[in-house]
Parts: sequence; structure tokens; C-alpha cells
Amino acid sequence: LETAKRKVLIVDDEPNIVTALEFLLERRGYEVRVATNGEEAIALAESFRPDVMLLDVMMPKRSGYEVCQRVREHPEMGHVKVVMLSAKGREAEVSKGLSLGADLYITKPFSTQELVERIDGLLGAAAKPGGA
Amino acid sequence: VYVSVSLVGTQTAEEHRQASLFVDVFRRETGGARFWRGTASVPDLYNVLVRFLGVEGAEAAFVEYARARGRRWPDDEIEADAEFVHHVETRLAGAIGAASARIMVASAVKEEALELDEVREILDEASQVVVYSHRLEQKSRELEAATAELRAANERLKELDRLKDDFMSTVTHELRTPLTSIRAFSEILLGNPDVELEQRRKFLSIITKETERLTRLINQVLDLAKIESGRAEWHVTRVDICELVTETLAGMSQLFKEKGITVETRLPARVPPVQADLDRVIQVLLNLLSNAVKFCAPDRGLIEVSVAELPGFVRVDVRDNGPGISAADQRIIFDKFRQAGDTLTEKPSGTGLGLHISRQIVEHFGGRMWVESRLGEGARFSFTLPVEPVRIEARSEARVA
Repeated sequence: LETAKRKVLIVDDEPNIVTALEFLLERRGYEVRVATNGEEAIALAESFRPDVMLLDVMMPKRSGYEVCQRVREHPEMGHVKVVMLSAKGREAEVSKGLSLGADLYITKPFSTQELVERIDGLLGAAAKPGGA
Repeated sequence: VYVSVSLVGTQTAEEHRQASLFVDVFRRETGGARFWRGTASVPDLYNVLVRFLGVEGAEAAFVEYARARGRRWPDDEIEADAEFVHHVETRLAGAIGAASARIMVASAVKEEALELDEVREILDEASQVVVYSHRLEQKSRELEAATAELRAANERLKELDRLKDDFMSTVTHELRTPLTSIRAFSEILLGNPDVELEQRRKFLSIITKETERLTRLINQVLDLAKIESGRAEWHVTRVDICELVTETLAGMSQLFKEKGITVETRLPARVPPVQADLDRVIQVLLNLLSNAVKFCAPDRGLIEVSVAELPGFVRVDVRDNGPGISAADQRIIFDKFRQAGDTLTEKPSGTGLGLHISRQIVEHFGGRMWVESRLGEGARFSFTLPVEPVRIEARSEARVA
């Protein structure tokens, strides 16, 4: 059971949204860590080495965009899947997220079912989970 | 555009005037008036032209004169006769005005002293030029001012448009956030009937709180829109601030008790009434007090409320013993949708509009609202409201009840 537990890093400054995501993903069998601002997210990504990051865009201390960029520039985190979750759903914001290297851009409010399925899909499509 | 059209119009009028002066010159000539006494020399006339038209202009005038007579300048001689003097004068008139041209040519050909008529005409012409140039300057100043005004108005419109855009984008963002939690937890509860009772309760209470937040947000956005567009209704009456503070605190006593907060008041026996909308002042007080509750030190919360009379104003202070507000945050907390620092745990309960609206209300009645704070030392929010204008009966029988 412990062999290939996929790891998710949730980054959001809204505690209730964090609670919901945490519940959903733990139920789905993911190992979950939480960061509540951009700086914490970068530090935690380094040590936790998630398979996927759920990244809010508007956060104190470095935006989701910045975090995404940092992760993409990191030599050993190229495989990390980045899902941007944002209440900002304008075209410009979506394309900015994707051009910075996000794999998915999902606008809030989202369907929990769809979110979980898409995360599963992303990791299924990935070559290998980080820990394996 | 209007001003520039009228400018062109003025120039055309001036051109008309110049043209009529030309006609005048010809008429005089054909009428037999003579300006020339026969002592003119070609070099003298050439120099006069050079002086007012430049070398090129003078040369052109000479070439044209010669060509009209089948000759070439400077190869062929030009005779300084009456015809030539007239040609020079006409050319000069185009540049400096007919009367001035006449006197220049007259002095070059050593003509007799000018007649009174001619002097008057010169003065006339000169004063008209001055008037015209003043008018032109005035027009040009008006045009500049109008242009600057248009530019400023345009900038203001652009800025307003940008602010409105930002506002819409922020409102949408702020609405989507509580909706996200509401939807997520509803779906979780729906899809997971096995969730433990305690967790179930927690999720349901989040849904309730986020719904309240959403409602508050919508109400505040509408309220703000009303205030900002000037459509808010203000029912101004005489308001006794001390009474209002006492009542508002009494209404919140249960909340203070639940949070273990001590409230201390310093209220004078009597302050003059202020002219304001009762409900709006209550709204301001509630906002400051609920902020104080939110940020009070946990378990040993202390809120101090005081009222004082200043010359012409009544001042209210609400002080908490919370974490305080940094200087940087003090500058933004009255802005729309701005909240202080990393107030993460409290964030869902705030809309970021309360203080902004409160300040707008206070300023509407001619008062002021500000904050004083240092990190680690709590915060003190204060506002003033102007005392109602003194009326004779208001002073003598003020508030016996």
C-alpha cells in the first residue's frame, strides 16, 4: 500500500478550499501536503517532491504564476504536474497559466468529481510517479 | 476642433483685410498718386527688399520684374523708375503691410516727408496688427487650455474605466471564492454518505458560513455601488453617539461573552448630537466592533470604546489588543477588497469592503476615519462626525431627557 502513494501539494490561501481539496484527495488515496502561500509552496515542493501541485493563482507572497515558473525552472521538478485552480477565469489569465507551463487550468468553482478525475488522468498519462 | 476652425476663420478675415490694402495700393497708383521723386537707386531698393524678404526673396522679386519685361536679372540692367519702385513696394506690402511698405520705399527713394494721412494709416495698420496678434495669442491660449482639459477628461475617463474593470474582476473573484467552498462541500456531502458526524457538521457549518459571506459580499457590493453613484438614501437625524454606542455594545454582548472579550467604555455624560443617518452610524460602529472582535487577542481579548467631544466634532475610538497593523497595511486597509497582511485564518469572514464603506459613510457626513497602530500593540480605529450646527433652542434646552 505504501509503495506508490502519489503525492499532491495543495497550495491555496483559502482555508475552506484547502479543507475540501485535502478531504477529496486523501479519500482518493493521495498523500497530501498543504502550503498557504507562494513562498511556502516553493520550499515545500523542494522537500516534499509532489507528483502534482494544485496551485491557486492569487496568493500572498508570490502568485501561483511565480510558483509555477519556479517549479518549471527547477532541474529536478520537470515531471511535476501543475494544475492551476483559480477564481480568475478570463482568457488572458488561462493562457498565461498555460504558457508558464501549467498542465491544466481549472476555474473556481469547479466540479469536485471532474477535478479528481482530471488529476487521476494527468498522473495516469505521466510516465512514472515521482517516488517509484 | 471648434476653436481651431474659428482660428482659421480669423486668419481668413485678416487675409481679406490685407487683400483690400493691396487693392488700395493699385487704386492709388491708377489714380495718379505718385510716391516717387526720381532719386531711387537699384541698390537702395535691393537692400530694402533684402532687409524684409531676405536675399532669396529680393532676388526672386528682381528676377520676376526683369522676366515680365523680357529681360534677365542680374545680366540686364534694371532701371529704378516709377514702375520698379511700385513693384518693390507691392512686394514689401505683402510682407509688412501696405502702409509700412510705402514708408520703407519712401525712405529708400528719399521721398518727401509723409503726409498725415499716411502716418495715420501706418498707425492704424500697426495697431490692427497688435490687436490681431493679441487675439491670436488669446485664441491660442484658449485652445491650449481646451486641449489640456480634454486630455485630462480623457485620462479621468480611462482611469474610471480601468477602476471599474478592476472592480468587476475583483468582485467576480471574491464571489467565486465562497461559491467554490459551497459547491465543493455540498458535493462532498452528497457523494460521501459515510462521512463522520463531526466532520459532517464541520462541512455544513463551512457551507453556512460561506453562504453568509457570499450574501454579505453581495449586499456590500450593492451598498457601495449605491453610495458611490450617489443613489444612496440618507435619512439624516440628530444622533446621540453615546446612546448609540451603548445600544450597539448591548446588542453585541452575547458575542463578546462567547469570545471571552472584555469591553471597557469611556463615555462622557453628554456629548452634543451629530447630524447623521442613524442606521449608517450603527453600520460603522458594527464594522469597527466586529473587526475588533475578529482581531482581539484570543482568550484575553480587550476592546476599549471611548467617545469624546472635540471643537465642532464628536470623536469615537475603538481600540483592540490584537496583533496590530503594520504601517504598510495601514495605508491599504481602507481600500476596496484590501485586507491586512496574512490574516489567513480570518479571511473567509471578511469581504474587504467593510472599512472602505465605513470611511465613505463617515466622510459623507463631513467626518474623518483613520487608524493608529503598531505591530504587536493592537489597533485603534477612530472616526469623527461633525456636531450639528448650533441653533438657539438646541443650546438652551439640549437633551434634558
